Amino acid sequence: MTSLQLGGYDPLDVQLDEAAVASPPPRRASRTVLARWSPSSVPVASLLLLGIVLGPRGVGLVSSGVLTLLDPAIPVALAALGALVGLSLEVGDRRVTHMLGGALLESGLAALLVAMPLLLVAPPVLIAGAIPLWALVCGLGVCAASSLAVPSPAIEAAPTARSRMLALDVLFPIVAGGILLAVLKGADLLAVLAVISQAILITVLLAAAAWLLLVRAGSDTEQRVFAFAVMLLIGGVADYLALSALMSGLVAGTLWRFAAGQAGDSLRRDLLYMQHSVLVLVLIVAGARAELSPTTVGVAAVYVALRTVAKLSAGSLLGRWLEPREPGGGRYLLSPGVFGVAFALNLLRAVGPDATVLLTIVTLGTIGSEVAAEFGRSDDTAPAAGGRIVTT
Amino acid sequence: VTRIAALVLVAVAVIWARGLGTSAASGSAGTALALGFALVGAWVTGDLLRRFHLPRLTGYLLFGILVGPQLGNVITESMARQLQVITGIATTLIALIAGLTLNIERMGRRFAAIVRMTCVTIALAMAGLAVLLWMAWPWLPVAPEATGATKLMMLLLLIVILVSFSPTMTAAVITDTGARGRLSEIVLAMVVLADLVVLVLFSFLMQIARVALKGADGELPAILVRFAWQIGGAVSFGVLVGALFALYMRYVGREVTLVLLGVCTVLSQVGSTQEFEPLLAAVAAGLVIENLAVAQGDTLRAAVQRGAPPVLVVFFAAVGASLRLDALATIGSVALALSLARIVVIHASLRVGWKLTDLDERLGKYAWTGLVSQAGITLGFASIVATEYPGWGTRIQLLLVGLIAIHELVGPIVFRQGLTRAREIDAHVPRPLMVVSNREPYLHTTAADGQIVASAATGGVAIALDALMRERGGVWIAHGAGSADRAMVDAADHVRVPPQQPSYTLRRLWIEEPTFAAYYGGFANEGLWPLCHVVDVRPKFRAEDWAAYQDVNSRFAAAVHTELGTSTAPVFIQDYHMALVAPALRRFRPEARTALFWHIPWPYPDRLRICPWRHELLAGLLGNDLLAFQLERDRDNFMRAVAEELQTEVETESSRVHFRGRSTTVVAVPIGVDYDRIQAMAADPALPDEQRRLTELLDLRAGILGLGVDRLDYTKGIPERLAAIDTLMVHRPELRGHLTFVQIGVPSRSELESYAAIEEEINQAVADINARHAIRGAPPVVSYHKTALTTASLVALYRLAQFCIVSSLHDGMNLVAKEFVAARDDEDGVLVLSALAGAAQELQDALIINPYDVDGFARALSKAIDMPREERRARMIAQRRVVAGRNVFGWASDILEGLESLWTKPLHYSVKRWEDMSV
Repeated sequence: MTSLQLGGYDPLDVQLDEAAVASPPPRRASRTVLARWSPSSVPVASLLLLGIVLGPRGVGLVSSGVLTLLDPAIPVALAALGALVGLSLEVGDRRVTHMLGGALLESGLAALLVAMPLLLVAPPVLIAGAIPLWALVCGLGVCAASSLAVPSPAIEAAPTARSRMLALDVLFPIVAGGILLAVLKGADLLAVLAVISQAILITVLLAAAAWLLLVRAGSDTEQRVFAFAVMLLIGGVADYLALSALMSGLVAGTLWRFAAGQAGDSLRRDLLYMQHSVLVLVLIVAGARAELSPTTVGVAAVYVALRTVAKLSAGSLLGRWLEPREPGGGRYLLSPGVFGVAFALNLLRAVGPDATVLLTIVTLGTIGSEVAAEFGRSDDTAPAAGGRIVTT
Repeated sequence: VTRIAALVLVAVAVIWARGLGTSAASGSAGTALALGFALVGAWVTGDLLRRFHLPRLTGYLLFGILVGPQLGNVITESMARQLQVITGIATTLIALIAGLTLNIERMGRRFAAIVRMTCVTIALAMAGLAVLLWMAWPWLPVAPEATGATKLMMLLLLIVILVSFSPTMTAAVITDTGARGRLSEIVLAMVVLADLVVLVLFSFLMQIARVALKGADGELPAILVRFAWQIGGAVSFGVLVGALFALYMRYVGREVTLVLLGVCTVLSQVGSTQEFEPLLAAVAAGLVIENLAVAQGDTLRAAVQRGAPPVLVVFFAAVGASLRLDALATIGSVALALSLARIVVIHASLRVGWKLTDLDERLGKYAWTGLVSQAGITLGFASIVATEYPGWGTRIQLLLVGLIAIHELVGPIVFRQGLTRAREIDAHVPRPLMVVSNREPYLHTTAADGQIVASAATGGVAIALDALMRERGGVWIAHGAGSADRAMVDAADHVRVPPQQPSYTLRRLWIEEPTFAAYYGGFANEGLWPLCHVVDVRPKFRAEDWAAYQDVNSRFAAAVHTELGTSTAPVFIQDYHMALVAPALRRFRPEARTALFWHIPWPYPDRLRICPWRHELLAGLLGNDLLAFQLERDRDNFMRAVAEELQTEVETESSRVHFRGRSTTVVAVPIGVDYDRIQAMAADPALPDEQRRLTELLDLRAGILGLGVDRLDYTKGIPERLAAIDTLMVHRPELRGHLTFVQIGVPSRSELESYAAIEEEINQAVADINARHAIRGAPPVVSYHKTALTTASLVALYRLAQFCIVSSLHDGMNLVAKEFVAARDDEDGVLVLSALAGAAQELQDALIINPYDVDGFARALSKAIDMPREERRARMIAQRRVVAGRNVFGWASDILEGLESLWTKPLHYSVKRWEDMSV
């Protein structure tokens, strides 16, 4: 199953997919579950914890200076993640469209179920900064909504309803997060629409340029250089405009998926080659940027609880939507994946240090949610195959 | 046009985004945008310039200048500043690449001479430039007002940067021109080594400059201790990082590109914070990985090729964007003058350095032409100085950019000219060769009428080597076996051949009896031959045979030494008779370049243990630079034997063996036939006449004709073949009178017991079959002939036969199989081929048989007789494609080119692989 070829399967693929989607061993008593728990069984949590340990508030190996140096790489990594989602989209089939509706409903509902109680409780730590409370809780809702680990090629089997659902439920958080960031720019609705549409048009221009470049690439080196340059540009534009790099990546990826043909395939290959580096970078930086305090730990605990309830409820509702009906409720949606952390980083990059509290809560919440998902896993809660968004 | 359109789209997008204005909270917003734009634009511009035969690096710089704040302002002042984040990583990466380029083993035996010459050249060039620049200082646009230690430091730094070169430009010129020869080799090695020396010197000077120019606290001893810490610490840290990185690649091996860039970041950052010299640390890391962790070095090079181009391209574009155009315009004439001074000084210094070595004086005149180019390493030095000393450092950078532009344009042209004058580009320059074999290509015998007749060897290999020698000239050393051979040679035992059109020298070696019998009949043919062929004949190893074998091989080696004289021609040794020639030759001249082709199979390790002198045999073969076998299977067996018997280091990936301080490359190069010549014979209008003659002579009246052509040898499976024909006739009696199988069996080594026995066995089997299955008045079942035929007659027979049998019990290749296929330009005929012959590895569309399975063999013959025309045609077309694609000349040139480039190729490739990066 695993191969050591560059860009091929990797322990990270396997572990992430196992954590999110692959068939786990049958459910056992919680003591047994505890015994089989290990850092490699929860790689997202492990990397986030590693970031916390290595970060400026830990041993300081990833110092503030290093984080500043890595800063420009973050929007690029986020754009690459978004592009991978777009490049892996599957449409055309009526059943998939039906599922897309279900996924949007599920993730929207989950976001709402997390955001609403937090808005009502309004923990003081969320009110302290300059960012409006509603924006922070909406951000937390968006971060809690997705469950996709990573669009990965590790499992090549035919897509199942669950794997498709995991793949599609990341769309709402990316799009909603993109709109949220545009709204935070503080202008009126028209201005927000203008900013979003212009950013999308710029991304379309860059996506078209990428297609022109890649369609004539003369060597592997050249292809990689162009793919990397385009991600720099797409992430860079979003960063420059303080918008969502994830959404820009999604737009570009979707265009390449449906219009770029072979160039799209080569982009996908190059992005898949980068994806492990991107994931490690995002998770370590997120961990290192987190500022732990008793309050944030407390809110994170609430976040985990709310997310678990929200995902189980929304997943249960979704189970009725799917044909054939999926057993096990929404337990397979419990694993938090990486997109929540990615959006939190995006927010931090766009609005500045005031979003650190959100990043910290989401980082801790993701660690907690992944552990919770590990406890909640059973044979019937994971799809048989497909942590990726399957392309055909 | 497509790329330019893409670039326009990107530019529009960037300008549009900039028009919307930044609203990001972070100060580094815009960095990624600038990096992306610089990367796409610089790459496309570099590519565009390359199409006009201009250097890529110029394109990268030009793009930076065009869109930078000074001109286009698409990359603004603040964006240009943000691009500088890449400088530290890029310069460290360049230093790491320089370290990875220098493999001491690849430098070979000339290492010491080249080191000496390089050091002398650099020292003299620096001294000369120091004098010149000291005098010209007031006119240099650096810091005319500087005096004392400050001036000295500026001067030294400028000089060190001035004597840096560009290994990738040198490699690119050699590749583009297809140059081959000593000059290319030496210049390439020299620029690699020189840049390493310059890198170390630059690092030292930067440390001294920090003390001298930025002031240092404390007493002199404290300063010296700190200085030692800075240099020693850098080297130690680099070695540690290199070792850790090698371990990481060995035991983890994932995300190497990311980790590599991380390592470069760490080296540059820790260097700054701990006051190490990052470049020195990076060179040390690269050297450790390249020289001590060879396998990991390959992984790292692959990662560098993936990760480095974007970093370096952006770095070059960033340098362009940071240049002040107004200042650049003023330094044009100074740069030109400085460039001329540099070239003159380097030229003079190199002449002196060259004289101190024993290298060919003639080449010394042109070597300077390869030292003109400058590129990325020079630019990296300049950027470091500019970053650290923004005042005069920036002016030095500006001056050097002007120089690089000149040297990038002029360097390749001058070097090309130098290579042409050294006659390394002209393909028609003769490249003499030395061939060593037991059998000679031309044999002189005394005919019955007393006249001396010269006859050429008829084997495919002999013909191919003869053609090669006619083209290249040189000397062929072989045992003089003809009855009139002595009468034809001069005092030095030379005779010019071919007799009709002499174009090379045949040196005959006289081996007297009983030495010849012991060497040839004994050790070679009663020992090695059965040892290497898995057949039921026991190898015989006798001490006196071994002594004779050693003696004869030494005599061949002495003859090679004599014939080589002052020449450096490659030596191509043939076959199992000559396993000890190379080590014996190395006692006379260690630098000789030798290749040996082992024509027969190589036994698996267990069987090799039969040989009491296997260690000596293996060690002897490892005296060659290149060792070639017919098949991968033989190569694998040899590598395993070496690992097991000699317990020596075997590099599986690069197929190299390190033994007693030498390195031997072991390859598999299957031999082919002279396809075109056989084709021409098959198409000869005289062919039908020859076929008619043979039909009458050999009584080939039967409707179905089979053919076997072999030397009478127990490895050829002739009794098994006859048994299969016997079985076929039993199962298909209707073939009696309609099928004739022609067996051409040329006796050889008949004086040996095992050969005499097989001849007797075959005679008996043929007689039995004919007695059992022949019909009175009808053609015989087996028509057996022991006379050797000319190639033309063989081709005529191949074309007459419906099927041809090659039933070897074990065979290195078997060229009869390939000759039969080459002759069948009518796309007809069936080849029945033993799975145990090497040819079966390539001719998989033949009817493959197991000669030990007589019933299966007979069924295959039956199938061959009944095979429909379409199937015969399809199989033959597929086989002809294989044979045509692998002729004997390709085989010879593969081995010789492999040998000739062994010394330069790895170094050349190790440099050329960085070509995209222009370092």
